[in-house]
Amino acid sequence: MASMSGQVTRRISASPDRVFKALADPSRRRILDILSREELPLKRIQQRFQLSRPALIKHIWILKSCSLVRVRRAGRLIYHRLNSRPLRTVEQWMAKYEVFWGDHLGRLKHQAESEK
Amino acid sequence: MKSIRKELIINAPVAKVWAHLIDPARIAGWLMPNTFDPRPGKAFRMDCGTEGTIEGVVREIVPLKKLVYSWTSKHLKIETLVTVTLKPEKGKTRLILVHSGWEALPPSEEGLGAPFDQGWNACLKRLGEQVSLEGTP
Repeated sequence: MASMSGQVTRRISASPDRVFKALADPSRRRILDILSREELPLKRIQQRFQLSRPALIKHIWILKSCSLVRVRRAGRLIYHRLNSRPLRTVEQWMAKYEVFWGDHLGRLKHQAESEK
Repeated sequence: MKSIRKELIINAPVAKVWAHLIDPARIAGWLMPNTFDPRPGKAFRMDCGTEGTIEGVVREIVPLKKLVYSWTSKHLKIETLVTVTLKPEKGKTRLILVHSGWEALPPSEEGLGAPFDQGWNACLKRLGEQVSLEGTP
């Protein structure tokens, strides 16, 4: 997914503590799972839950405050999506770069071998 | 020590492969647009699309043999190290790339300089797995 430059305000902090607390709640984990598949406005998230709107808004606020959820505005709707960056582990970074170097070194090989 | 290691044989002489490692125009062909300057201490940028801009500094150059530079970005935050070595092998070139320094990664990317903590990462990983397991099929 395209990465937006984050809305970095003093209240948003993906510190380990905040992320951990955000993930500790099963409703919030369920929200993240839903948002990992598609971007949704609040109404649609609520349709998949037996949660009151105020409770949902509170959970979303907690997730946004540690960057696990990002939003974008499209007209009158606000779409929410999962931002998995705070969850990324060393293993995920390295897996990403394993693929990255495999791909690019392949191109280097092809390029060097093709050059007259 | 955590590092990524890639090794391959390129069917071209070392001098040719070396040119592709240090010439910005050639680097743009197999890696990305860049401002690479193959001199020790020189900083450069690489335009990485989804990962944003990579910033690096050339640490060591041994012509035709070894190239070492630092590698970091706004998302990655820590400074990792890329080491490329070339060895001639019967008219071909054996290239080894090692990307190291991953131990320095904090538990959360936007963590406030928190030290790397194995226990924390394991926890997050378990929670991450839990998120995917709890989803409706």
